[in-house]
Amino acid sequence: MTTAREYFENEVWDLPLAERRAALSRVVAMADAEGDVDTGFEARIKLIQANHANPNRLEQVAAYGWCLARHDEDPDRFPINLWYYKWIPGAVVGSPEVSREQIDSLLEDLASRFDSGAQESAPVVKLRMRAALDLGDIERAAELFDVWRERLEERRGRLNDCSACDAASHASTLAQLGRYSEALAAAEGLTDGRSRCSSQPHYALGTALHSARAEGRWHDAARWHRRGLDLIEGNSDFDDALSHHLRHLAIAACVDARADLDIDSGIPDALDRAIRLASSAIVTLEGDEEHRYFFYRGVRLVLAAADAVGYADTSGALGELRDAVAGRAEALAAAFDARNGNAHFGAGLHRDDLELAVCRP
Amino acid sequence: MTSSPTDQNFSVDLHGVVELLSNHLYSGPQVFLRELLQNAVDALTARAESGADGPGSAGGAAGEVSFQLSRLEGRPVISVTDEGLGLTREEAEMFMSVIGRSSKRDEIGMARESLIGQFGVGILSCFAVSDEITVTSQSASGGQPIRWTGRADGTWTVEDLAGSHAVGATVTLVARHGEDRFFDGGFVERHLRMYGELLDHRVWLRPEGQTPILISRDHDALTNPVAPVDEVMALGRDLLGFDPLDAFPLQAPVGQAQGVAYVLPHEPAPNTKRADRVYVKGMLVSAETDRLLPDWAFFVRCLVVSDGLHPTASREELHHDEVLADTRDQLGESLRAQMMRLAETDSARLGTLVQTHHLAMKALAIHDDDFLRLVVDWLPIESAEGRMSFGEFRTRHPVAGFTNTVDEFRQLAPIATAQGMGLLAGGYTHDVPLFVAASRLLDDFTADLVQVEDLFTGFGVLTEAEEAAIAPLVDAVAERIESFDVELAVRRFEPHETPALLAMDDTAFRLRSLRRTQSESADLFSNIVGSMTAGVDDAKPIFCLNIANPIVGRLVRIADDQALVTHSVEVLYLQALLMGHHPLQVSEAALLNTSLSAILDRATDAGAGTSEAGE
Repeated sequence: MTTAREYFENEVWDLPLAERRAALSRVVAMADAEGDVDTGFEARIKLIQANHANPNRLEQVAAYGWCLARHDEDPDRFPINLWYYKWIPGAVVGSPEVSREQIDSLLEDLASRFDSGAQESAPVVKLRMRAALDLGDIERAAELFDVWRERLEERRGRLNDCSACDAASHASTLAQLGRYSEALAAAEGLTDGRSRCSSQPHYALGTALHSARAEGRWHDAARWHRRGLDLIEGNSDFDDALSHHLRHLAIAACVDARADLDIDSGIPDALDRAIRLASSAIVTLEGDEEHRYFFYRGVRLVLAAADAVGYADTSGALGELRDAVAGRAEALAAAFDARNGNAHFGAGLHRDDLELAVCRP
Repeated sequence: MTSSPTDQNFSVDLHGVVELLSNHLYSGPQVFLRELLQNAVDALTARAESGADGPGSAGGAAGEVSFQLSRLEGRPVISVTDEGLGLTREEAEMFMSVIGRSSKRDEIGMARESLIGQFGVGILSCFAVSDEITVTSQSASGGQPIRWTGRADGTWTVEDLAGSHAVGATVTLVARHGEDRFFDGGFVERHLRMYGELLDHRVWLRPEGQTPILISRDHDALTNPVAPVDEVMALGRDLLGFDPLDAFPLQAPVGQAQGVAYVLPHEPAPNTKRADRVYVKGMLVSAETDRLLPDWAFFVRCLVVSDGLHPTASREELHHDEVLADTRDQLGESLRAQMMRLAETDSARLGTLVQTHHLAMKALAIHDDDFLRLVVDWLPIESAEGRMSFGEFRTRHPVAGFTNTVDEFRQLAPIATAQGMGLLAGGYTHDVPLFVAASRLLDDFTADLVQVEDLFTGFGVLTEAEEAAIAPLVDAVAERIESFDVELAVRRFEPHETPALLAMDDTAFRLRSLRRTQSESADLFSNIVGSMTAGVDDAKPIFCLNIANPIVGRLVRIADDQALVTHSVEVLYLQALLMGHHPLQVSEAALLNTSLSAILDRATDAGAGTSEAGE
């Protein structure tokens, strides 16, 4: 019978990502059955990496926790890369079943492993800031934002993100704090195509859309929408960014309709595209509940816009789909708000409705 | 006041050009040896094609090139002598001193393709190792011999020589201080062999005071499809550096390419870049090109000689053009056809090859029906009866099943074996698509997907009487069994020696694996994972007792002894887990001890009781 080690070394590497994740899970189980802790460790590290972009968050968190425990037992035999720990808070916050206390404990553990000095480093502060944003604690996020910017100026350590990712976080945080013009200025290096990395400006072009609309920069928004969508279309790793583009398509379709543009061609095309994008993404939808919430939020707005502009529903199924998607988005918002003790996620849906109401024909 | 425009010539900083060539175009200064060799060979070709020696003469084409190593005032010297066309004074002025003007090919009406050198800058590479290039030459067309001297500062002179000089040319370089290593005998020999050992001309290296060394080697094995096998293998071993498992002749008329594909003796590591060796007009272009064969051919490395492929300006890689694309296709097709032929003429040889490279073969077979038919019977598979070739398996089982995952296979294998069913393990790389394709293509083989749930449809349901008989046992143990997060079922199935089994689909399997991971983590992560799994749909494994098994029969009869049957069923549950190759969780490992211990206690109590009663 093939051993876990043989399977790990010979059968996993040339598989496409989704199949590789399944194969790595299998290696983990086989290694556990054989008592092969070293292969179990290596396979879990690879599983954490394979779940980074389009994550099975649960599998990722469980694997990292197990590896951390082995590392703590025997650091020389099981060296662990703290870089991957940076992925864990986002994964944990994205599950409404995890309590705020558990999230706080996790961030404390992370901070104690990252920083030996009295002052927390920029990556730790950034993770706390992002957790605060995800928990809807905007006031705390605003405080941490200032601290993060200060720490970032002080030094650039090995656990810092790349400059393109930091610029994107800078811009998206400002946007979530409602400081739209500052957000657009911070995103300039990304939106004008100067800075890039493997995941930026893919996200940044999506997150800049709301700020651009809020500032009345419709022409820029249209450009960034086209460029951003080209970068991410068909790649389920970027479903979060897709949500921004779906919302933009919905709002733009309403604005165009209200301006009495050619409803027979332009608007249905835009909505056709939005509905097609949403349909194909729903099929491959993965990830945690927060990820789903944002995705459903995008689809919900597209379907609401379709209704508002009198889009001809040839399938006859859009009404039912709209109710189902809205129901899911609202249920997820309620679950997050219950965990967070505020109304942040529900308010997001409400803001979408308001934006649509303002521009609907 | 305005001045009228005047035409000006660009001036070229020779130092800059040499620097550019050495550091950016070429891989290193050693290429000056290739350029010297190339100039000499081109001169021989030019002489042969010029007709200067009269019709039927072998002069030039059969001529030799000689690299003489010596010393001048203590400095190392290389002199390269050819028996080529040579240069007149006017030709030296016209061709040697203008960068970019390659040779007198246009003057003598030669086809550009006949020569190796194409760009007219190669000679400059000599300035990377020497401050001065001296050429003495006697033209085949007559006249005085001449000496041309070019210097790294961009100046040159040409003069007539007194006396006589054999037709041809000698290029002499004196090593610049600090560059002696490039003139070392071993270094020169190694590089001349690398670049030029497959040239048709005889190339000699003559170190001072030593026996001349013939650089050229016989390479008939590369172009002769019926060359003796040991010569073909020896050539591959020498030039590619591994002991090939097998070799196939290759041909691609479009690139005027011929060669041999050598089968690697081991599976290449994942993501290994292809590294084929290609010569154009006898001169090495690359020892590690990845442009020559299709990706699927990663089980071979090839040696190819071509007269039609185009090197890039550095001459260190092949130019991406249509000729290369078509050559690549034809070489691939040539390899594929050879393997097809092998299946008909020497299937055992093909079998050895497939055994070593089955992953590549499977990847190709999935997308190529003809290739699948060709190799499928030699591909190794894992079946419920062990590892064997696919051909052997389908002879035993023309109708078979396969699982989607290795885990399901492990659960189903014992049952399939007992029931005489042919079961293939899916889940290994490429295997499921391969089974599906084989089932579709082969007239005498059918395979269908088998899932764990299918076990139950194949199992006998209980009669009413059996249901009634087993009810007390189920009542006694149900609560305990369900505490393990499994569902309890009772069926009749073969092999009757198996008292129970655990059926776990992929979702349940992954969830169980996750729980195990969770239980072996520190509290912080264990609690968080516990919270996160609260929202996950619980897919429970099914624990199925076999009523046909004698032990289960005994348990039915003692069902009123709740403690004993509970401990016994706990042991059966653990046995079922181990049979399915499922790792035990911490709580289950502990249960093994407590259950066995409880049963032993009962046994010893009963023994003690019997003993006392006996007294």
